Amino acid sequence: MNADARIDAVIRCMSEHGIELLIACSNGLQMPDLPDAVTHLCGYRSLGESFVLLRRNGPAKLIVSPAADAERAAAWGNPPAGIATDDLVGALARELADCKTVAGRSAIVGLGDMPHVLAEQLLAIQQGAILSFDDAFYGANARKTSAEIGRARRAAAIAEQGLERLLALARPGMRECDLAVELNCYMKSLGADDNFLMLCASPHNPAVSPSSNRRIEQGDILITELTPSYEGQFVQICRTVAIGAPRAEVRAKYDLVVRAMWAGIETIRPGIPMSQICAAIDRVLQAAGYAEYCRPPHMRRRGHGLGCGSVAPGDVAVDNETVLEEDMVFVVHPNQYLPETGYLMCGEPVRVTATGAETLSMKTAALAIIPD
Amino acid sequence: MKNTALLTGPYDWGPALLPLAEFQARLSAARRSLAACGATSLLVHGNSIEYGALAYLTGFVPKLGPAFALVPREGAIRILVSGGAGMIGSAKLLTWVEDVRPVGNLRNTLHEWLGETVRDGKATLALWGGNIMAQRAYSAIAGAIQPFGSIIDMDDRLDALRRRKSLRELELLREACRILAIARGALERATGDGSNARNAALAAERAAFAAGAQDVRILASARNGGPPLPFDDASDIRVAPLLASLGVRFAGYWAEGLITIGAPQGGALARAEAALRAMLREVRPGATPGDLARAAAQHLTSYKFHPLVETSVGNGIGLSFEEPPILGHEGKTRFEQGGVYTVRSGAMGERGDNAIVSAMVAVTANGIDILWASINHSASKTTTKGPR
Repeated sequence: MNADARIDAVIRCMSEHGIELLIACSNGLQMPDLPDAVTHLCGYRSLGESFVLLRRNGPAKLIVSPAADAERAAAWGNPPAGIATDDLVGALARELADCKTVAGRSAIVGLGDMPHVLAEQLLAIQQGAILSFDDAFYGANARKTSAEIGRARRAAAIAEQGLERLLALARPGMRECDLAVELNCYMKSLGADDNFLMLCASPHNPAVSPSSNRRIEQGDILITELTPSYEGQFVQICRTVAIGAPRAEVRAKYDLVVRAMWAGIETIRPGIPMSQICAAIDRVLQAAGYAEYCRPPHMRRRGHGLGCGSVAPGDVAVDNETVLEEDMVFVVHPNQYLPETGYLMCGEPVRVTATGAETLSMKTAALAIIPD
Repeated sequence: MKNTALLTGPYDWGPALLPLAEFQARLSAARRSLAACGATSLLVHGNSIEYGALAYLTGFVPKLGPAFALVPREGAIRILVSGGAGMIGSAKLLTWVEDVRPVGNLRNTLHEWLGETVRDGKATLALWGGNIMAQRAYSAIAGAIQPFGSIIDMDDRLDALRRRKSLRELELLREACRILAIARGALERATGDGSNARNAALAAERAAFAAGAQDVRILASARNGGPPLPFDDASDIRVAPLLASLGVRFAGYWAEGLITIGAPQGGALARAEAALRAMLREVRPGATPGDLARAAAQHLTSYKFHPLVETSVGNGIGLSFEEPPILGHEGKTRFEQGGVYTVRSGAMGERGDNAIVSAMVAVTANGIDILWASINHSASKTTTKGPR
């Protein structure tokens, strides 16, 4: 599938709903597990807020802020004729006046994440007569394009090289934040343009957190999710590293969590709901006596879609009935708190194939050890 | 500036960086403003893109999603943070505030807090940082306050508290500028040694982090003389002149620098530098951005204002990369004693003969203290003709 096919699918969806004009919004914060309608439609990653106006019968238009991003927006090429402005509302009002859309025939995606003052101004322009279209928009085409899958593979390779770097550098006495910064810089040198890099260490982690100024100590369990973005496509691997020889219990529990992860991954195939992956993971942990830890507050989700753009098929969660399709990409991460060991992390990015799942990482999760 | 998905540098709060007394003074001032406006409670919002107001009162920098400080007219502050209960320990390291909790359901959490803290069941909730709040969060807040009273926007009134920097804030800004100078030096050296733009920027980033930066954001030309842009892909090319925008954060405080490397002599760079010198001579309490723009224009001769400075000569800077006032060419705002500003100059010629430069200045009683500048300047203190 390519980007044009995605736009065609969205336009078909608009047609089915009687929508003539779609306003796709971006708040300029690209995140691995939050959608960005502008990036989904055209790949452009906003510096400030931006919109794509997609007409059912007419050209699309990209409107971006700030004005200083004019050259970059113009170079994006698809959709052409971009406007870069510091007055988004004014530019949008002028464009919408030109559209002459019949009241009730326009829809919007991503309004809830926009700054509320801008959102209110936008609603005022449309006099409130605008349909929220998020579910239909992302549901119209939830598969990654061939280009996005290629970027996901490259991002996965960068994440794995990042892990190798972590194993080479992490030592007692080093601050978590210094290690995280170095890994970030290293992955940038490999081509990453952003990174959602969580990393923390403790003898007993309650959860994974952003890195702090704490110094890593012998006996810590370091947990991390390395989430580089390559040309706008995030991918995530989750890993656990013992600082010094781990207790036998840590090894045993880590094996359990990895087994749970593979139970989930082996379930994946087109046509099943996401909830089945979560259920497969839960079954392994429940059988080991951890049913209580498979529910909130200990557990919310066991993976998620990977943006930016669409984050379909959403969370690996018991209440997600989204049906898998070929070329969906997401991360499966059991990432489980266990009372004996604290939080343990393992997770792999996967692509749904015609018959199952392809793991995008080459070397999958195993407990890593920094020797004493 | 390009946003980033997660902040990873050293953000833990400590009294050695910014003492508790400084926060208490800020809190008292904010509460006086609340009382003057008849507000019973204050909600301060921040996210990883813009957190200036939240950090000003609490030191807290939200790394994950939005965060909210709930400030009653009297009594303890509470901070609500994104993320689960297991992350609270790490979130507490970022602030002096002791009561840090997960946001959970914002509407319910806020409703509960209002019920606990307001008298007579009536509240006027002041919002600070509300303009940048996501529509979804604002709707939740509006729903929570509805049974108690109403919301008032206090951005302008409370942002005014941040304009005049304290002595300690000035020290932190100086340190940010010191790191900025290190980053600039690393960028120039790497470029001089033959590195292309992407690798040179990475060298500057590493140098800044090694010097203590919390965050570094660098944009650079993607073509000869092109505007500073984010590195969208892995390509690494050599460009000259290289126009770069450097942002360096220390202890929450930003320093900004615009620089031009490899420009031919006597062209746009000479104009932009001359214009910046002229602008700096104009800065004093009471000066307007128009004064600076007119001074700059005299030195541009056949060159145009660079698009980056076409409409403004700079802005306030501190806990926010761009904080009020925005110094629009036609604006009526005036430079204030105690304010810290980034002042920008740029010239655009033909065939890539473009240049940008800037300076960070603290306005004193009768002139400026130059905290950093991309041009040579004979002394760090410039005394001008006196306040207008």
